[in-house]
Amino acid sequence: MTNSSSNSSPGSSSNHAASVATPANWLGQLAFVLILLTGIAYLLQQSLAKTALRRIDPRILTEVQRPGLHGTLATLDEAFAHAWQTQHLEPTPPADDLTIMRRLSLALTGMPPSLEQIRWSESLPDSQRLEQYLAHLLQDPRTHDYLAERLARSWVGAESGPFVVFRRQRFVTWLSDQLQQNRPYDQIVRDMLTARGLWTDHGPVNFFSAQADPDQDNRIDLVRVTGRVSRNFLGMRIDCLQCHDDFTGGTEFGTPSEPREGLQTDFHRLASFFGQIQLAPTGLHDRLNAPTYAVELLGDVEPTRLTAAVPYGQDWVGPPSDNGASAAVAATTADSVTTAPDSAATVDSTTNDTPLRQTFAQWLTHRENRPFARAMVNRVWGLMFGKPLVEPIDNLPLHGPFPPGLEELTDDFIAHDYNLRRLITLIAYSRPFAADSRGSHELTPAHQQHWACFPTSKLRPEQMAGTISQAASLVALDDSTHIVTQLVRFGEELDFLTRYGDLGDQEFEQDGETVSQRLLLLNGEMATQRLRVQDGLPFNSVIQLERLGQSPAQIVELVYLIVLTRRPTPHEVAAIAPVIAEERRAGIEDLLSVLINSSEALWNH
Amino acid sequence: MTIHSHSHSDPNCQSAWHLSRRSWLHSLAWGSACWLTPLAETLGRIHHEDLQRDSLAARQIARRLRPAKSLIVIWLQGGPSQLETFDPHPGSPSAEGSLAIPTRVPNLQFSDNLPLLAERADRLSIIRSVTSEEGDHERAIHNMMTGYRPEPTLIHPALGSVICHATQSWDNATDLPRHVSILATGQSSRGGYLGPQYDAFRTYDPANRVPDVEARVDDPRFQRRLQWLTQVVEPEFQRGRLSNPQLAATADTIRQATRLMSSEQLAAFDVTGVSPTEQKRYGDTAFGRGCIAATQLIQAGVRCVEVTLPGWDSHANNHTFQRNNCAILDPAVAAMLDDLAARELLDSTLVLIAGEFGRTPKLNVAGGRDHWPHGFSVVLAGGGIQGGRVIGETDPAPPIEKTGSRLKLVDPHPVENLHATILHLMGIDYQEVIQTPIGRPLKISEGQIIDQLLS
Repeated sequence: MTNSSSNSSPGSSSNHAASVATPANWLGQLAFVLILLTGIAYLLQQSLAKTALRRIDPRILTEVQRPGLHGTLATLDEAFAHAWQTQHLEPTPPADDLTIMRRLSLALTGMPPSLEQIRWSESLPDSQRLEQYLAHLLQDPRTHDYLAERLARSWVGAESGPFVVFRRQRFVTWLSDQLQQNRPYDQIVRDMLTARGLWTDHGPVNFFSAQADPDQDNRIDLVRVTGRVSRNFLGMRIDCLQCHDDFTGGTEFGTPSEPREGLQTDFHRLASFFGQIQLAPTGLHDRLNAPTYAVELLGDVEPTRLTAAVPYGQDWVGPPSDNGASAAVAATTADSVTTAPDSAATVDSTTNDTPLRQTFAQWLTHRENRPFARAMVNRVWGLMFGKPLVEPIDNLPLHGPFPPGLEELTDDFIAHDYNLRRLITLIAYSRPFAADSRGSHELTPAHQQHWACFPTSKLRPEQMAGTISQAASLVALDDSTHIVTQLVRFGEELDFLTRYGDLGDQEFEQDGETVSQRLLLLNGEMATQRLRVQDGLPFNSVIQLERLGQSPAQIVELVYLIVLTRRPTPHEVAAIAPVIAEERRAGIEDLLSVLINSSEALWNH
Repeated sequence: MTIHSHSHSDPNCQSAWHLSRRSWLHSLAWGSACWLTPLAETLGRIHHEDLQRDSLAARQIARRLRPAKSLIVIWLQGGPSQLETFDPHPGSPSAEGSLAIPTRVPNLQFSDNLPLLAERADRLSIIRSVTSEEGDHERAIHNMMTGYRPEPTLIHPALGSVICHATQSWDNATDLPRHVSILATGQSSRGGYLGPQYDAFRTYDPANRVPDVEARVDDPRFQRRLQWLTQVVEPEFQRGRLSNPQLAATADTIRQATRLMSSEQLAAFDVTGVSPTEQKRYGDTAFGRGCIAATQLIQAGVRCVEVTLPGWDSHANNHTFQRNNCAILDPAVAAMLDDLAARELLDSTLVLIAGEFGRTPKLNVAGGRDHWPHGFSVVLAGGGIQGGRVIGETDPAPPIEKTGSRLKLVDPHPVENLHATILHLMGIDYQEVIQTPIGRPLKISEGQIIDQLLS
């Protein structure tokens, strides 16, 4: 090599060296090709994503078309119209499509529509816009993930829980899959209540293992399980009954003709359904021969054994018979000392091969058990509006009275096999969901109370974080977004949520704002750095808007669409556009920051 | 004109005691002035001590006359081991080799991990028998911070939030938040059902600026942003819409936030002016700086400050974990107590040192100690607390499979007793019933005063 190179001219030497395939050259060329391929893959992914935006599953599209929902929608709207007439309330007119799109997107994905989605929807005929957008959202994986997270907060809590036996993310992932498949709600709940196996392997097991008590050898805390089951799946707060009989009239059992107040035994007989559950290193199992659940009742010094019993609807206990009707299980006191003179049918654990919780799941999801369906209707309404039909969200009366809309939606939910997608669609097309949150006439608290205007409610912290993230991009941030962008977004939002604070599972509480939270929005890392020109973020919305050859007024309009999903008023354009004309980049950054800090961006309306 | 003209007709009346209006006012003025003298202070102290010797009721009255003004919570997140801190059992099976040292108080030992606090044990009162029913971190933190076990339908307010709520009418307007959490975590004090205005203001290592109080753009641009926000965008949103209290409060919050951004009182958070020698005295750690800032904030009029030292969750290698954390805790709290005393703030400032639970009296296979809420230590200082006291006693070798009342625990005190005592020391009627947002009347605390701390 030395000789040959020494014989060559300097020029030929360098040419020769360049053509020699040294490892360094190879590596350099390989890196170049990899970067090139990554870039091409990114561009392809982006173009495919845009195509996906327009390709909607025809089955979902059929499900959300209004004609198929006409009957229930008419009944639903009539119920509200009647209430408004009775209350002498003039409802606000329907809001524009963009406002409704924002409500839908925030409720289902936790973030507002992107500019790309807005432009796409505006290319559709007016009559198809909301249907297509709703269908698009219902098939969007973000919707399944977001709704799963919201439901999981209520069902297993927002905290990481007992680390050894609880995998919250495993539960959320399982739930998201169920929602993606649109599994009937009663089946989802039955799966959770009868789940067996390992929490790491089988997602629904975590419903129970979330209530394991590390201080008691990870035994399942049956009181906490019963409280959660009752609140979430019956819509009844009976937690006070764990210690004493009801003396405030806060609980209601029995029949409509013979209602009665709750007893301490009601709570613990429900808890008894879960008394066979055992959490072992091999997973969650049932001990069919376990001794009957025992508890020290108020005033007693010795525990009392209580067999499982339901507080109402005793006829639905037990497996369905051949003709579809349920057979009641005879009351028994074989292994128990019953102290309460209630009429509950009891289920004897010692003579039954079926795990008690399975019996309970069958009773709970029985089609005649309307509180089960009603509780979910109220929750989905709350998720869509930011405010449930009945407050608090998990305490509905057993025998009524019920507000307009609740029974109509419950009827439809049961009749259509607990179809969550249909329930969401019905609520989305209802007159209250379409109502404007502002009116040309004076609005009173009664308007909001009776849904004669759309209620304003503060966004949840993760919806705020989603709004900020989306404001930094012109295209929707979804699963087709580049992995690096997704990772950056995940980290930033996590930091934002940690700093802003989380409501935990009290997610329908309407709290005000703290000084720390406002400072975070005004000057915090995410709210400021994402919305300014900086190295490393070459494609954020500021740069893209700056490079568009739009007039200042058009820029103002685009920024309003990105953050607030509406166009600015002439007054707003007049106040802001002159600044953007003079300082284009600074003006865009300032406007983005201002809108992110506005109540309009931080509230649902 | 005499005040008591009828006195002349009373043979038992001594005319020398009769006062004219002028002489009465004269006496009143002198009397008032006398209360400003050291003599009056001494008399007041004697009077206070007399009362302390009386019944508990009288002591409670005395406490209300001179309540502590401020609270510092040293929050040891993760659950410190009582055996390697304030309740060593040297030579016993539960010590697992941990050592103890004598303290300034006769017959009182601390872990050898806390030599500086041992020298100041006469300022500290230790409750070695605190119990709770919660062995999970998140639930136990809620329990210890609020005095209530977690409930599904109600979020209880943290101790600092309760104090700020109960004493809001006592405080003068200040730019600074009244409730501050230094080295804040996701579990920092929350206002709960009292509302987010009682949440602790969150800040981090005082070596850095208070978070988010500096605008990211120059002042003209920041002012332009505020002007667009408050005069263009917000009015447009509120037009034609029904307002509600939270929405209406937005303008106030923006005003408070911007006022804080430009406040000179922010200097109370700043420790950069503290000499390196002083910082070293506090241990030259983030936690140490937090304790410096806490002292400064209390001096500036902040009512409740929480400083968090995390990392006590020693499921493995317990002794090293505890020793390392104590090396941070010991100099910082010792220096803080010294400085509070030097600035004559210790009598009016209650200091609480606590975590969410203790740790098991037996090492696990990984050399760690697990969660133990069945008898752990909490320390109080200042705020009128008599130092050098020990309340309760733990079993040097408790069977860890047993819990609750079956354990040999002398004078056990559930967490709520600690809250009742602290609230009482702050002059707050802890038995007052508050109507919660869910319509359920609830006492501020369900606990009982730990009498021995006040005697």
